[in-house]
Amino acid sequence: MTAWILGGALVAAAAVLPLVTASYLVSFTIQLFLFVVLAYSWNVISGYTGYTSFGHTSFFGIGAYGATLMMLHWKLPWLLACAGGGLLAVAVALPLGVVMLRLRGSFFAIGMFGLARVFEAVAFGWADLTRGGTGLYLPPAYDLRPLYYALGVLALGMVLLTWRLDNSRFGLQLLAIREDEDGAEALGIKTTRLKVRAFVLSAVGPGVSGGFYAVYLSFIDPPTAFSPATELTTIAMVLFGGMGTVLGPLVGAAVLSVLYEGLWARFPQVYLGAGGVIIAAVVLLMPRGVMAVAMRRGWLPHGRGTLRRLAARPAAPAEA
Amino acid sequence: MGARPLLLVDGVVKRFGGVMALNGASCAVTEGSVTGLIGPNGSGKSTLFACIAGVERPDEGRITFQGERLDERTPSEICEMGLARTFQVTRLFREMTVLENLVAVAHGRSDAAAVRRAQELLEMVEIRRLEHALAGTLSYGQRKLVEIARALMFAPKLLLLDEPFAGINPRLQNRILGYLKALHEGGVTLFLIDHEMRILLDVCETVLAIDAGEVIASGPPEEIRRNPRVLAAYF
Ligand SMILES: Nc1ncnc2c1ncn2[C@@H]1O[C@H](COP(=O)(O)OP(=O)(O)OP(=O)(O)O)[C@@H](O)[C@H]1O
Ligand SMILES: [Mg+2]
Repeated sequence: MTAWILGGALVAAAAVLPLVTASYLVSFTIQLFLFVVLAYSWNVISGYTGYTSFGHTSFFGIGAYGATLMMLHWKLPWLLACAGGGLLAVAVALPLGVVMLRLRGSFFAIGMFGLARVFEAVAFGWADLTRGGTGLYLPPAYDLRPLYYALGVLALGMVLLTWRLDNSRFGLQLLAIREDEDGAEALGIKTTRLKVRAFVLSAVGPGVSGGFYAVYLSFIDPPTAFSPATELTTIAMVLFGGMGTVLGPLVGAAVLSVLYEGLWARFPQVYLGAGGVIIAAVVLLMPRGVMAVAMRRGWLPHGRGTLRRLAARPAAPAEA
Repeated sequence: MGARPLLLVDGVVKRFGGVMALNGASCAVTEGSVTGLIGPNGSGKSTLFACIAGVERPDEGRITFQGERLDERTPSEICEMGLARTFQVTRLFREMTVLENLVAVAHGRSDAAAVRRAQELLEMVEIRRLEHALAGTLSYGQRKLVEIARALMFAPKLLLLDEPFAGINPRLQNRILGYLKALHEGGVTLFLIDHEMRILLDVCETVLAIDAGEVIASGPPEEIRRNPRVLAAYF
């Protein structure tokens, strides 16, 4: 209950923010939303399913290029183009998932990283379409508020989706794959189908938000679209917050965004390094993230509350 | 007796590299029976179960369940046909609660129905009080009980039990024996691997003996116990 009130207050605050404040905070929050979307998406495949991906920027970049091209060539409105970018990412993720998810552990992780490099090379090389390293320019967006709300809704959607996932059998089955894929398979869990579904699901957010990012910058080029720094920051956020938890990515994205912003403003020369040190420390001290620590200490209830509530319900009388 | 075979294994061969784990194993499990499977360590018992459950594909031979081929189906399809199994080394999802372990494998039902079924089964094996305990914190015997309950989530017609009595004290052995007898009376066919003659003599109508990947004898337990080939291989 308290969680819902707190969440509602947070959403309300985010909703009025652009109406009352300067553009700096709006820009900051747009980037925060962006990382919330990326972190939650990565959490589905790598947190819940246990397939650590080092290449989810592939979908971010595909969405960014897809949306930009749709705006430039088809003159689609930005919102529609971004949805189209998401669709494109899903269309690429489906066959890619079927192939890549045959790999396990570090092979999958490295394979995904390699793929992102391949997509980046394609974006460089296919100059007729992408104008290579020069990049593509969009008319600048003077009013960031529509973008802010669109990303905010997407971010909220990812949080709610993860909450649903965490409380469903689908989520449990993903956790089963994470823990013992062969065992899950032997017990009749349709592992291949489920992990492909999780993979595709995890491509939606990056695909759509890639388009939003292009609109935000009014520019996209290969290093921006397929940036390993974006990837690493996303991963650090989820690791910090807690992989495979509902609130971990939110906490991780918020804390690390503020931290990075502070470091960037005060110590631009050390900010990436200092961030790395902090991540290493956190991962060493609490490898399962802050949320896991909070749950273990009893400050937060364990996840999967819906199942617990179902279990607490008295049995239906005389049901066949 | 006239009861028809529920499960038929016909000339199954399974190689792991150079190891011949099954070497033309053939046997039948009668519907409604309790059938035991004995054999020395490494004789291929668990491999036979893995082939039946669809986890391993036989290199040769065929396996049929209720007249339908099993050896070309996925484990999930085989579960849906009404065939479930437990593992020799328990294989629970340690980071999930006991209840979640059962719900995760449920097929088809709504989550609410799956939870209710899981609770009934935990009740049956008298560990309902552990439903919210993390599986990783359970004792070995408790894990064995959870595995049995989890296998029953499929409402199986045939239950394969790989050494359900190994490594637990006689009191728990007797408890499990009681549950298995109740299941049998409820119409579930049981096919179980075990080394303890005491238990096999108590519950099994038929015992199969396997050695070096071949079924070398089958019959009532007293007979198997006295069979010279079995004695040579096993005792
Ligand atoms: N996955 C595998 N890979 C390689 N060899 C295997 C595999 N599974 C079983 N084997 C080999 O096949 C043979 C039969 O093993 P299996 O586990 O079926 O024996 P078992 O009768 O169940 O023995 P135990 O009584 O010790 O459980 C052994 O030689 C074993 O080493
Ligand atoms: Mg064995």
